[in-house]
Amino acid sequence: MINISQDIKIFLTFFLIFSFFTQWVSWNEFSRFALTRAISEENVLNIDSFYNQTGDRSYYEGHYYTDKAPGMSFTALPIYTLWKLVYHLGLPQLASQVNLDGIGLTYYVKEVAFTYYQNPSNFLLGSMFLVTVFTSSLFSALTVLLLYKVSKYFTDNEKERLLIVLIYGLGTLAFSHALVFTSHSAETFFGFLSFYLLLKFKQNKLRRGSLFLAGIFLGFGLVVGYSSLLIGAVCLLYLFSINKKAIVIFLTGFALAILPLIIYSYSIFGTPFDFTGRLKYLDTIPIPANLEKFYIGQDSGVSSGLLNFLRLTPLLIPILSQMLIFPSKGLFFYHPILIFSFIGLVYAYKKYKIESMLIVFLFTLFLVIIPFQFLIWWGAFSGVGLRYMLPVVPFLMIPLISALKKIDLKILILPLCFSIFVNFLLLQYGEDTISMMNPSQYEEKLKNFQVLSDPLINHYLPLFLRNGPRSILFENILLNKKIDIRLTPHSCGLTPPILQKSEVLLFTLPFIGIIALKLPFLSLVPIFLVIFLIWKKEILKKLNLSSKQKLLILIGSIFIFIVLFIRITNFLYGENWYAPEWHNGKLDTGKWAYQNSTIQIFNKYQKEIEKTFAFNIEPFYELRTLQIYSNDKLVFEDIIKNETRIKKQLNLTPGLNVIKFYSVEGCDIPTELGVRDCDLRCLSFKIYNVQIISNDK
Amino acid sequence: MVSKKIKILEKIKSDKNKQENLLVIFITFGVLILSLGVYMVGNHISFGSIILTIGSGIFYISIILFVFFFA
Repeated sequence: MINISQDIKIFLTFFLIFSFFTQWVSWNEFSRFALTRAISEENVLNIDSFYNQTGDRSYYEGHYYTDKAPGMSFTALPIYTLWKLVYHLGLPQLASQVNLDGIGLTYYVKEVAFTYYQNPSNFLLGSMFLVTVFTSSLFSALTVLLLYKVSKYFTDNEKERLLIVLIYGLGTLAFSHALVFTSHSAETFFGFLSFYLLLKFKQNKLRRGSLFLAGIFLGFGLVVGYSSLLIGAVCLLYLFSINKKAIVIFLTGFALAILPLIIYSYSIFGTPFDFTGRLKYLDTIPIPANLEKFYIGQDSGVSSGLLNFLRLTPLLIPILSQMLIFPSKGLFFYHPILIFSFIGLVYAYKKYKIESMLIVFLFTLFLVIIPFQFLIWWGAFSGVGLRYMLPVVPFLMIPLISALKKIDLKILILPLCFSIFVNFLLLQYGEDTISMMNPSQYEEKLKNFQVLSDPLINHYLPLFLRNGPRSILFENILLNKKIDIRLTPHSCGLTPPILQKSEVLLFTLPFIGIIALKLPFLSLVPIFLVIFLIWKKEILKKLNLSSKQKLLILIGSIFIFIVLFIRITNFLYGENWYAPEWHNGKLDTGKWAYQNSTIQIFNKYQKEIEKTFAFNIEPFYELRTLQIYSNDKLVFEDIIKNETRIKKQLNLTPGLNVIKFYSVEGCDIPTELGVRDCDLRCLSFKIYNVQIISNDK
Repeated sequence: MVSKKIKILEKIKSDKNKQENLLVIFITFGVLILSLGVYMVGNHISFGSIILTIGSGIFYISIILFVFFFA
């Protein structure tokens, strides 16, 4: 029986959670998005107009191309085009805007110049959000729904089915990769959908003709990303065990669906099989120095793969240790709930022999193939980087259902909570410590089975304690009134690891002060609200509360919200401040200002009062003239040569006073001055130790 | 009474099969139109991007409908 209402609830819950935490983190997204834009705006497959925004590119016969499989860009195309139509119809005055990207700032990686666009148009920012939400987030939520449907073949217990959905959606790699515009979530969806149809076929719940669809889905999975080949091998074996004759129908669908990939490859490279020029024409391979030794040059194509294989063999076990157990990337370290999948396999084997064997085979296949990737790059920025294992994760949920039946929930609860907690903890600015290691240290640690990096303790936990789980979308709506999901390390300081502001002005209350909303951990509030609203009926039924109890809980919740997230103050940072700097786990107490930055001071009395405004200030790079305006009236002007403590008497009018810091010489970009390699902020003064002192004291 | 119920169920099933067949056709055509679009864009033929967008759009919507109602 179809339970549409339950299906929609499950889908909506995960789709909204994923959408809320979407991020735009790396060259990977820029590369895929470049192809979408190139097709939509220029009717071409090359990304010549956008190549400088990404290092993930191929170069062939004078043109740049994305080095990714094109499926994700194709899928994003209708979303991008529809948004373009809506945006331009709704806001026709912006349709004529020539430069969508805004001001480009140049930065260098291994002496290759790249451009980061600081203020792209609202149309582009909206596009980035929408293509991420309606591809990765949507496909991930659909995979969650599929898993719910699959689970009914293995259990009748509704609680176990919902628990497995919760584990997959929030407690595994699926969460991190539902948030970014990369191919992994879509590959996973298409692979698992194909497997699901085969499972239905086996249960005689699918017509033979529908196997054609299973083939199409798997084939399109390959257009999106190449891990579908491995899932394809497992699906073929599975179908072979069910009905050998049906393989032809399946393969026909598969062959049809990979047509776009073959035509794409042939149109560009003149061969149907070098899909992205990865074998020969990679342009700027950003291989970290410590991995160069292990990588054979890009010109040797297939032979390089063979040589890589020979070089890899002695490193296979050390790499697998880092992949599975160690805190560097460890699949089971970060998501210990997955360990129970293997315990579940023992139970599942009795009843579902073929499925269990195929899951073990698939997992092993990924373990043998994936380490090759780590010879080029260990992957990072979204989650801890073990992205290539994602397509196998929904398959691991199947034996986990058997484990849920046999193992006491009390034993599972701790690893489950940790797995979910880690995913929320990882919602921070990404890191790539392994790439930064020096080559000899890297090799020694790898061969001696030592931990390569510990991003959880050294990077994510300290940031989490300061920021809470970050929703970049939510932050930017609150702080900048923009739909902006960028949190990319390649922004060179423009999208920082620390919240740009920890508090935002809500409103002012006469006689009391500024009512400020505290941002750290605030992102959890909308999530709890969404979950409650979707599952309200079930939650209230379970709790069975009287009207009086409901009212008490509502009042209690509002009280807790006020205590945790509201602060009354008489001083707040206003506009144009950069986020505090974060160096090796330590927060700089100062804040860098743009050319004209403001602070807000509240006078709660009904008369003008005098207060002393004191702060330390240092100029960036050269001496600068500082002007201070109090409510647009110049009250201070001096040349700041080096770090100075300034004290100034200010007459504050009743209510809110805006104090502006203005640098007469403007601001400068460190990278353009050659002071720092990758810092695109425009800096004027650094201000710290701000104090507002009452004169009557 | 029972035979009437069976008839209704059979009708629902046959309608569902028809809808599923329609969706299979949409998905197949979606992929074919998408492939045509890639060919046209790759060979600089006008309206290639529009064809590709339409193909991709048909495929995209059909998949979502399929997962919700027929999977």
